[in-house]
Amino acid sequence: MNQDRKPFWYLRRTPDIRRDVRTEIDLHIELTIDELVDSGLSPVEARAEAMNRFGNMDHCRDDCVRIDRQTQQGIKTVMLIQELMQDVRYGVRRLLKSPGFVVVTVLTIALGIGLNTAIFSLVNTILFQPLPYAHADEIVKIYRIDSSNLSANPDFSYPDYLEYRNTVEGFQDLATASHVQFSVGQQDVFEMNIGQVVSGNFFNVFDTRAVLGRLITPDDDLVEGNHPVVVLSHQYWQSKYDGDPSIVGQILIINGHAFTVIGVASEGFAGAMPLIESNLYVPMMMVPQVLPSVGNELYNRSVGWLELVVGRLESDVNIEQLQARLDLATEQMKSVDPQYANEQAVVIKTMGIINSPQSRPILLGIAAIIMSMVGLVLLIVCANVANLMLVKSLTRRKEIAIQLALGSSRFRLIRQLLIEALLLALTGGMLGIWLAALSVDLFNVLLPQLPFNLSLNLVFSLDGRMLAFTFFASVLTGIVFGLAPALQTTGTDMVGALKSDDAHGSAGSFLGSKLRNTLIISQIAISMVLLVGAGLFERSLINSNSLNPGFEHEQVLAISMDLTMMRYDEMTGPSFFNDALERIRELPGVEAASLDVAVPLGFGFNRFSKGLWIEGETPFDLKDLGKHQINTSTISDGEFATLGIPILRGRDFNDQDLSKSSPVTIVNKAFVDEHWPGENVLGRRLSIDGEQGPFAEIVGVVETVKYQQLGESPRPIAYFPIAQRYNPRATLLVRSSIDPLNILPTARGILLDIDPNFVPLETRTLTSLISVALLPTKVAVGMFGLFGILALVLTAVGLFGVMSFVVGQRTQEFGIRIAIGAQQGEVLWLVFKQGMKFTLIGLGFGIVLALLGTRALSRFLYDVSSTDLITYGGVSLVLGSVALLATYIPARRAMNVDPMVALRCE
Amino acid sequence: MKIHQLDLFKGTLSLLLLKSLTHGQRHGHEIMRWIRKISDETFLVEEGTIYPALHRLEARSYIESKWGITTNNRRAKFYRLTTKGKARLKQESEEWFFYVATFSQLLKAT
Repeated sequence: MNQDRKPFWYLRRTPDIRRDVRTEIDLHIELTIDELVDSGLSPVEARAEAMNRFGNMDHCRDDCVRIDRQTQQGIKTVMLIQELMQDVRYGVRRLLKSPGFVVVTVLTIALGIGLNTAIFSLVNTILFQPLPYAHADEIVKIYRIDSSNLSANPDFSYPDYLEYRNTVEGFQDLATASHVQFSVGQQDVFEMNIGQVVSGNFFNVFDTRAVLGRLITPDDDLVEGNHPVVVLSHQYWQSKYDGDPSIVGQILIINGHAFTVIGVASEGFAGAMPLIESNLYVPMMMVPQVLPSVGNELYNRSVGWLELVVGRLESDVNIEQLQARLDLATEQMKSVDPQYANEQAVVIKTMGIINSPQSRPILLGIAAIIMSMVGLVLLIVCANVANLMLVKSLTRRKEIAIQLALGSSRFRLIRQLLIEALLLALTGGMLGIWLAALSVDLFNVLLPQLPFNLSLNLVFSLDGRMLAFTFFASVLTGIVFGLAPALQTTGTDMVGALKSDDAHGSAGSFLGSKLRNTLIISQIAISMVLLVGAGLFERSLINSNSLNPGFEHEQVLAISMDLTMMRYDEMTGPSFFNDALERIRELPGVEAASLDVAVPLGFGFNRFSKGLWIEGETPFDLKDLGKHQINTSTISDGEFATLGIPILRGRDFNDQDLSKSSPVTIVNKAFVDEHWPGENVLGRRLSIDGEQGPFAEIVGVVETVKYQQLGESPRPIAYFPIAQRYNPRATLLVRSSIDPLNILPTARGILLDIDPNFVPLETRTLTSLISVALLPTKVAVGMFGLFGILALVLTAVGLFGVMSFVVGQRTQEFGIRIAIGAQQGEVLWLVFKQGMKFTLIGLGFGIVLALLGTRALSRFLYDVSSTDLITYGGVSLVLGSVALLATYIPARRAMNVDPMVALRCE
Repeated sequence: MKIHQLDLFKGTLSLLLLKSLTHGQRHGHEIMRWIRKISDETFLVEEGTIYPALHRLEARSYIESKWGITTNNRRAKFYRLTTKGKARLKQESEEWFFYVATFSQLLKAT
């Protein structure tokens, strides 16, 4: 009733549109009726006439309602936006009042998102980066699996490849390639490079064009030795020849032979093994010239050395069909040549950089581990953020209570808090994305700085999905816990909050502080798990076989050379070698020197395995040749001393082993374990040249050493003396007691003295030579370390925040204590006690969790048990110290509380 | 001549409504009566069309409304011009006059 007396400017706050419209219209009708009645019509007639004059009432009403609703909507929207702007401004002001809190929270979120995503992206790229060429899904690789011979790494022989190429239908092109170490030079300057020998149709498989000149075609692959042409990779052309367009037609000396440059491959092309970029491509038919280890055995079926067989599928063929045809072809081969009895060829789509059937499960395992680490760090971040938010919320309880009491709507309040939380979360998120991009750029910049000729063809990019995921996770956490205060407040709490004298409101509801404590303890626990995991890995990788190649590579100089470049041959070569060894051994500081055709873990090691015949054993059918394979290495005497490889039985090669008439060999422990476990094999004889021999006598047994990969399983090797098996390409290894590079000039001097035409292929320390093999493990170690540090930093920050708050809460209490005579030290101790309690409980939980969690890791750990005491101890120590430090700083502040201030503090 | 469709020329109703409020606030029925009186009953309309037009004008802030009481103690929604509405009325009227003059000339021409 009184509503109608309201002044003009009062608008109904929540108009009921439909009702108003109805009232308005009804009035119109009424007034018309009144008029008509006045002029003489009966009420009924009047009403009828009024309705008639009015027209369609429903239409009118609906139109008006619709219009009004839209208007209201528009007004609401504008108002909302205005309110939000206000809230944002208010929120920013409030946040700026506690800069410490803001910085810590934002940094936490940023670190979590940024670094986590960067690390994940890094690993993701290495493992799963798709190959960068067109039709990548049509390209497949063929792997050979030899179920009988698990230790060797079966490669195809060239005839095998030809067989598959010629008989298996379904490929547009089937090509083959293998990495080779080339010495490349013009005039006097020579350098070692990695390149590939490729079949003529190799480039066709990838459907790639030359950027200059032309690429190798099948016509360049017809007759052995007849095609001295070479294609350069784009990057090599740019970096070594400055992109000089006149490079085409120039002559390069490759492994001692003259090759003509016919073209440059397109930018980014990196063959089918993009982890290692090849600088040069040479036709398969030139293998006799450039790859002496295969040499003239190109068409020898039992010489398996081809790393890669890759092809492009016809568009109407799928993998299953192809596999069936492959199996058919293999069956054919078995029936013709019995050595293939245990053979199996498997075709597999190229899915990334590293994807042989053997490495797939390992890779997936690694991926799983990395994901867990990322997940754990994320958990810590969320716990941190939650804690910080909760803590912050508690300091505002009083303020919120007052606001509510004054009539602010809960909804409005929640919205306010939400906006603040969002501001924080989004700022952190932005910073995080920026950090992530920065880290990735950093990786990309650092990568080319690697100190060896090898270029890793990786471009790191942020993984968008991961970024989005971590972003949302952190933001969500921020929001959820930012809302905590508003959601916590109830009527009774409000009163309590208002009544309390403490500026920060009550110390939090019981539930709240329990939550806080739980969070901080779980943070410590999770950090513990992460750090223990990281620690275990680090130890495993550092201590164990993985990083231990089996020989000592420090303090060794390596000079590699190819005597054919200096016109030596089988007759004259050996005397050069002998002279060199003799004179270098005489140098002061030189402890040992030797020659090695295939330095372990260097790139010269040919995985080419040779057939093995053991004297006295029942002759086997050629069909079982696959079971009788051995890797070989040709060395001089002194090799084992130079590399620090223990001789377990018998002796090293010596001067008596010069003549070819009494061939000798030395085998390694893996060989003995495989053939005559536990027995004394000295005196037995074996042959790698066929059933008829010549048979070499075993004169020594040495420790097993890694040759191809750090992670390889023990590989049986038979060593042969270079004096009996001359090979012009060898590396001179010199162990010195002083820095090996200091010996280099003198060594070179000697070599030049022996032959003024001497030109080395390469000169470096052995450590740097094998550093590439060590790289993946180093990367892994570094990565886990990073994760661990990240976790540590985050936990420290979180702890610090919470402890500061908790100490702040008790300022009054401390003031009182000091006022009534407590020593500063006692106060300090009180704080410490609280911190210690957290820490110890957290560590306790952490240890339990870690013990459980790392069981899954034991598969990957070498020589380190998952309950390794040192790791647990070390991590506990570090974590505990960090926690205590985080406690100490607030504690000091507590100590210095001025009791007067504290007591007055409100 | 009786004109039965006020919106024969587009926008005429709105203009008329604005004009009707020149001298103070009126509610819908009063507006309708004014139109009839001023035009000497020449303009007859479906009365209901007034209201959506009024609401639209209000949506665009040319007029504003509030509830009040009629002389007969009934609740009614009163409308009046806003400043924006006044300006609009002036402008539209001028345009209208100009339009009519020009078009009339066109029609008169042989």
